[in-house]
Amino acid sequence: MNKNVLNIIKLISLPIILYLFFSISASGFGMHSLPIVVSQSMIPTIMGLGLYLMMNADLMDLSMGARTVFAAIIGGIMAQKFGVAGLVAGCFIGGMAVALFMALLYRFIKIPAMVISLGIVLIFEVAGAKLVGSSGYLRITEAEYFIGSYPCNIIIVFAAAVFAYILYYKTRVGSYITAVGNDEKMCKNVGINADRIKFAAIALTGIFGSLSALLYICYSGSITAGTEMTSMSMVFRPIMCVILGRYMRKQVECMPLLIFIGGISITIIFNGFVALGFSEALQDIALGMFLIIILGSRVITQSFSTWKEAKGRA
Amino acid sequence: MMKKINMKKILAAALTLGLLCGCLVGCGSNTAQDQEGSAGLETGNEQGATGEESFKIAIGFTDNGATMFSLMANNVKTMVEGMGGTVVFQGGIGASADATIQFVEDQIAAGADGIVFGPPSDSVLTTVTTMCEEAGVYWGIAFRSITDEEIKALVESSDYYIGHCFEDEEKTGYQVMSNLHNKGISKVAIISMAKGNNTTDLREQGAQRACEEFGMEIVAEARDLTQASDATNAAESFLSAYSDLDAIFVVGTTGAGIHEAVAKAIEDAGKVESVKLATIDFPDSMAELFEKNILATSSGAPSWGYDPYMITAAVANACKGNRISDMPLELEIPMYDIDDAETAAKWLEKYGNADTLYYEESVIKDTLDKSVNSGLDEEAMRNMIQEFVENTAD
Repeated sequence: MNKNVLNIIKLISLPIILYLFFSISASGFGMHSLPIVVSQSMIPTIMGLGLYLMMNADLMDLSMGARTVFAAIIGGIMAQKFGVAGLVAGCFIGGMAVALFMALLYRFIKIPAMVISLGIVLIFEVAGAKLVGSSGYLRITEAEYFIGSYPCNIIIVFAAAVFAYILYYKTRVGSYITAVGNDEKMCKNVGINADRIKFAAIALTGIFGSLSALLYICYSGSITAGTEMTSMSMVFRPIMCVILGRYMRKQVECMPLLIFIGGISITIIFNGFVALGFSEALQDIALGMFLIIILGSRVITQSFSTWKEAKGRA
Repeated sequence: MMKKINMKKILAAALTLGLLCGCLVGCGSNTAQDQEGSAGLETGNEQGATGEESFKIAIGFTDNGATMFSLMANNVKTMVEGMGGTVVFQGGIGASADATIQFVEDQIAAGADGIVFGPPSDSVLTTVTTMCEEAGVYWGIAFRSITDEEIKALVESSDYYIGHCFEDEEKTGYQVMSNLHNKGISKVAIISMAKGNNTTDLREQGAQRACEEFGMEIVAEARDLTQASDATNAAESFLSAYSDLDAIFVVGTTGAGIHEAVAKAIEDAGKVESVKLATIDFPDSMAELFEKNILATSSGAPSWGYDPYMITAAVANACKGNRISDMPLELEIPMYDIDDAETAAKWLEKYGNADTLYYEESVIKDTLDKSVNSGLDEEAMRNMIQEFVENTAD
């Protein structure tokens, strides 16, 4: 069989195995859960597509959640005046503005991206809360949130994934981002301006931030302003998607697909745990163990092979 | 290269200047606030023309403009000023023990004579008791009961602890589940706060008691949701995992828009007829949710602000030298059930307006001020509370 096809089969085996496992072990989990699983994996996927750009450039970002919420608030405010057009424009303006601000800060102040991202979280959480006002949240109408609800959200994420693929693999900036992430010193030696490339990486996350803001506000029909760094928890699931995706890279070089598969897998796990009646604490433990086992499986397998060889020789 | 170095220097200088200006503005506004505070105290002194000294009470809840907070703040301010004192509100205490202790320290340093707050857990109370004893500051608890017996004994032994106002959270959790049972509901998923939060832990205990008594089942849970979309996500997962789910019970949350987000998930799944929403505390869109036939039952304090209002009255009297009782007060606010759109609308008409006064100023002076009404004791306060609850949606 063609090697690529075999690799893709290996790739999709993870979510399939997880789905079958939970379908058998939890009576409430089954075919009817699939549309919800797919829909719920859209937001972590699109945030993961943006986070990957920064992680690929060897930058750590914890502000994607805060940026998403802020952009969604701008979108919600503009939706009240201009309807759907205002919602889309507002999310885009908010997402790009914050991303450019963050990129400029990184470019000129030259402090670690993690520190800047924490500052962005603090600033834009408060800014968003001030914009939203006393109630703490904004609602949009059904006519407005339809554009980002299921199944339109799948179309939006598919388009974003195609764009991400072209960006990562078919553009010069995408190649440079990968190169800078792998070896910044070497890039500088061959004349690539690493600072400018990192600036571009951060700025480009604004596109995915804008789209995730649109999906986020449409998902519940409202947006709640986060404070006290609560928005940071929004990035953990997308980060897990990217980490899982990177781990599966040896099968096929297509990060948008890998991030999506990571997203689907983690969403199946979360929903499966709910169907099994796990408490929140147990869900977190089980997810942590899953990640450790999956990501450590290569090392475990290698160690086992080495041990077997040594035993065989003995 | 030179241009780059110059740019860096200019940027560094500009940022330093900005920081300096910010500090100066901050100091200036602090000075302004001190002046305002002094003016407030002076106003209190003018009001105390009979020779009564003014007093200052700090409330650990904010007036952020939301109706329920404004309602509480307006009423507490009217009452305290009517008794010759001043009041400050400080928010941001949240659910953190550190923030609570910081609040008490700050207010003692700012000259508060009395403090009212809702502790996130019993563990902070030993420190608060010590701090208030040393500073000679009276204090009271709103919205909470002390569950740890050792801590309770320590706190109640302090002369500066006035008492607590509380709702019977365990009974409320039981009552909501009982209301759901009466509507034929048996399988329930809950949305609640993290374990360790006294309020929701007690509510869940009550809910569990109802489950054992009525044969109901809590099949799934989601905790500590702060974003509306997290609530939609959780509700969708519940609906997907349990096709025979009857209700989603929002036991407690600090997030805004949570109830509406859960309602959206139920509507999107096309399960409005088969899956209901239940809640403790009244959501802003309560009337709308009842009309859509999504909200089945809601239980809450007759008005959220009434709890801190009553304990503040007790603390204010202590600050004036007239304790309501020598023993710590235990004032229970009975919860009020709303099960239909009409009652919800009546309630909103009254308590959806931040200008509504719980008691007129003349009543406050004649009834809640022990220097005027010498018969004011714990029993009298309990009677007032009962009457207030009975007249809630009139």
